[in-house]
Amino acid sequence: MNESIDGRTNSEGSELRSFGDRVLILVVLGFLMLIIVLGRLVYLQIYNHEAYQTQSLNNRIQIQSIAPPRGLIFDTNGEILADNRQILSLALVPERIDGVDALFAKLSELIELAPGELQAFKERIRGRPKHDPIILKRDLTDKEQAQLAVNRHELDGAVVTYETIRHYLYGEKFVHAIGTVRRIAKEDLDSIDRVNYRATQFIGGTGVERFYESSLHGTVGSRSVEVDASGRPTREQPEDLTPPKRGASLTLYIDSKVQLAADAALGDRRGAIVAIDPQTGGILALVSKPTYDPNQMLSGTNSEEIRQIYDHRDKPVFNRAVQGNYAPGSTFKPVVGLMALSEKITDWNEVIVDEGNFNLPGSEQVYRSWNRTSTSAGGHGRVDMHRGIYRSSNVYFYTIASRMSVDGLADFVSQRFGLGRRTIYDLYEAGTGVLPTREWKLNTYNERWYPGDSVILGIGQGYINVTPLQLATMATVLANRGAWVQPRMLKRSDQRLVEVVEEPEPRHAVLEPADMAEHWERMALAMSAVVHRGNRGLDQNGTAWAYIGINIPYTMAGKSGTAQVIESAREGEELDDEERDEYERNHALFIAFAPFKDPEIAVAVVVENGGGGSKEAAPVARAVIDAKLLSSTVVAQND
Amino acid sequence: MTELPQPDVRNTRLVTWLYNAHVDPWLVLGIVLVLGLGLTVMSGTLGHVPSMLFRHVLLIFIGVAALFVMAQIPEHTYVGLTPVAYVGTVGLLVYVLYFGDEAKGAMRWIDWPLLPRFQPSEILKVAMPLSLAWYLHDKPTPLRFRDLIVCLIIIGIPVGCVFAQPDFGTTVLVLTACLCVVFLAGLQWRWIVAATVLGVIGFVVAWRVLLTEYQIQRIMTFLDPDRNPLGAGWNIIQSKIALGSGGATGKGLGEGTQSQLSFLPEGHTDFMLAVVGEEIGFVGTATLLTLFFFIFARGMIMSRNCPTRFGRLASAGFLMMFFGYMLTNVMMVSGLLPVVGVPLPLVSYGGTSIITILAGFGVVTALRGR
Repeated sequence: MNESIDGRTNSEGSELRSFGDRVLILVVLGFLMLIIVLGRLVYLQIYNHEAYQTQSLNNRIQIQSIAPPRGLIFDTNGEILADNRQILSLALVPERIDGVDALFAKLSELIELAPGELQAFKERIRGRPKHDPIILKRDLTDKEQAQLAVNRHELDGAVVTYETIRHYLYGEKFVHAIGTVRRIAKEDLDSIDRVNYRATQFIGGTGVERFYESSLHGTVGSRSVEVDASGRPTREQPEDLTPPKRGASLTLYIDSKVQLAADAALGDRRGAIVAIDPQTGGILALVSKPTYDPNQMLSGTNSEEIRQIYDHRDKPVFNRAVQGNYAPGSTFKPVVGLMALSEKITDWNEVIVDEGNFNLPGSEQVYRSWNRTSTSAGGHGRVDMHRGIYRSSNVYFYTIASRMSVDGLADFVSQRFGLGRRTIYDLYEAGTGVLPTREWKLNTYNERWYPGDSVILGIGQGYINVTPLQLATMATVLANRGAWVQPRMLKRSDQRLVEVVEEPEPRHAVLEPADMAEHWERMALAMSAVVHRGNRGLDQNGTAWAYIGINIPYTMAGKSGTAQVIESAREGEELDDEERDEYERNHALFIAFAPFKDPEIAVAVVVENGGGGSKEAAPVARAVIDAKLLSSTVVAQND
Repeated sequence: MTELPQPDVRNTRLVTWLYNAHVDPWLVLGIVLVLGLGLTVMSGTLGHVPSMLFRHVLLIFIGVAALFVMAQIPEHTYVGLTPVAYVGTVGLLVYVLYFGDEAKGAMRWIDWPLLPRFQPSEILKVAMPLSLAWYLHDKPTPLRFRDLIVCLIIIGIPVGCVFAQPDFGTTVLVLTACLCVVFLAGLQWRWIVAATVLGVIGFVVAWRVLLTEYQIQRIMTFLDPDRNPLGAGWNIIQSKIALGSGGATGKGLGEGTQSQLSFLPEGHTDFMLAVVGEEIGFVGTATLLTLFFFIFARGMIMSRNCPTRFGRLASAGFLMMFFGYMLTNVMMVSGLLPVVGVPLPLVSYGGTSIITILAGFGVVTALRGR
């Protein structure tokens, strides 16, 4: 039948006739349909014209949308962290403006307007109903209000309106813990439900505000407003059709007194703190420094100031606590130890002699101890697992790690401790860190895994990177003696949420092999020696004892870490020598949990370029735990 | 059927040029008039946002260029490319189900860098007639049963994907136009009767089982707009007021209070016809619809005169698609059908639809032979 494309066969004739007939049928059918719709239009436009014209003239009821109040955010004790505040703002109603440029010229004589504001305004009116007011300047001062009121007759289309904006009661102290809202951008218009967001100006941008956006937002309401023929609302009272439905209020696990203590303890240093309740996985505190004031971002219209915040060298907008990547350093040693114990690579009795140096067989490379000085190689002498932890012996863990398979270790820490994964339930922006494996290195660097990579992995250096949140999760699992809980922000809400929220799984420990429960307990003990083992003389005390353990009123377990800053991320920036020195100093880390029995809090602290973990980070961790465990007694004393 | 007389205007340079460009002057005349009428009314509606109007004009230019380019491509190239186009379109439809952008509760959009956002279901308007014609062009008439089954499979895969998005309006439209192609290919009358019976049964089942809450809600709102005067019913009420208040000659360009005071939502997209009716009255709507029918009828005559069966089926299929879209939109705007979100071809503001339609006319022109 190939020729049917070009030539005509015999059956082609009848086919052509049938086709012609059927085309005629379809065209006639199409014509009939045309007559039907024309008939309908005659009915609407000619026959019923007068009735509809009357309706059109009476069509003076405009439906205006009312933005729903955003749900509030509370801390675990019911203290308000985020609410909504009314401010006076200048808004423009696009359909009532005679000339946008003239109006802007007039306005800029009266109040201060940023240079790009006209262009930005023209962008923002796109795709919104022309009778909806668009905010031009927020939080007017009394003087600006007066200026606008006096000149009102010249400002057609400009109205001063009450606007409800988000208000964060603790400002910069909680911004990284709960996140913020931001102005709806043009890109959002495609992904949001435009009807529900018609009157809304803000949308969750980060943190809990972002994750639970659909529930916090609520449901738009509407009211009918009488307008005159040009669309201006008349003075008659608007009639509410459907009231807006308030968004869900959320109660977080965040504990204000712990959060404030953490914020104060870190002070002006750069770094991050995460505290978790090991019973529930609830995030008690989440601090990232430097930080910024979200209220300034929301009410401010000075885009120069806002740009300065964004462009600041130390990135205050960046949430180090959930996105920052740090080498875990020696805080990783308990994990390596547990892996070795579970795989029976070593036991609690094996003694390794630490003279400050470690060599891989057949290699020149020397791996050193942290306490070497110009006169001594350092080292801790005869070291078993327990001593390896409380003295933080590098050589001990170099040796252990050199016997391990990196993939086995990665498997173990990923499954048991959640490293290399995003485990927190309700934060989109939490990072995964980097958990190296053979395959990962091949894919990333196109290089095979060298034994030396494993050796430094044993003390938490090299390719491994964790977020402070992951460090705190690690501390939580250690506190729970191996039982996994998923970290989460949300404790409860006052309404059913739009987002599917799964109930946390009950805690349960993986107790394989059979003596694993004992290993977890003894590891916790070794970590408590880091804090409590003291007064034993040189090189016999826990590394953190002198800094936090001397007169501690409760039992605590911890592990310090000092992460080498291998390559400065600030290359190409102009820094003076002093600054460069500072930025190349080691990061100080500390993980801890307390009380030893039935822990109520697990903490991870990172102080960027802080130096030694025990000296710089441990006191911060202690302050955070104090706030959690001692504040009730403080209150009792005050009574 | 009487043929439209070939225009005796070959001596004018424009028509000569059109002939040399292998383009049918009658068809182009109809399209240009519809585009012009639509643009005139839209410039009143979108006058305050020049950037949107500019974008629309730009898309029209791209579409017209596509028409001329598509018209130059020889038929055997289309025959060769059709299977590729079919597989590609199905691929995009499956892709959009999993990775597409969601808008208003349906997964319809693809948003790739360097391209305007588009709906893969757009491509079906051109790809489906071509695909069916490709399969049917060497099959005997009347159709054998197994050919019919293959056709139904060819139709079913992409249409199923569109239904799953869910996009009810496009599903019904594409399905109808495809069935028209099968009908034109020589479907036997007794099968048609049988299918009609089955269709009625199927309709009852669909109503009871297949339609989602949202689709039923839309149909119910249509039947009784007062059920939800703020939701979909609002559009119908306002669009009927717009049409009716326009009367015979309309309120004047840019003077439509329904559209200008934002009573009529989507006045520049799906409900464009209501703006035409309000501002230039029945004269405008009737002219527009007559022009649409003129394009349709002219196109169908061209398809009948195609030298090959592939060309006949493909071009007739596309024209059914075109006319079907137009009818559905007009019936939706005038309250004869529920609001299914179908744009008015060549007139509505709506991104890529205008390009696909114009490119489709390019294909029709190419297939009519030299």
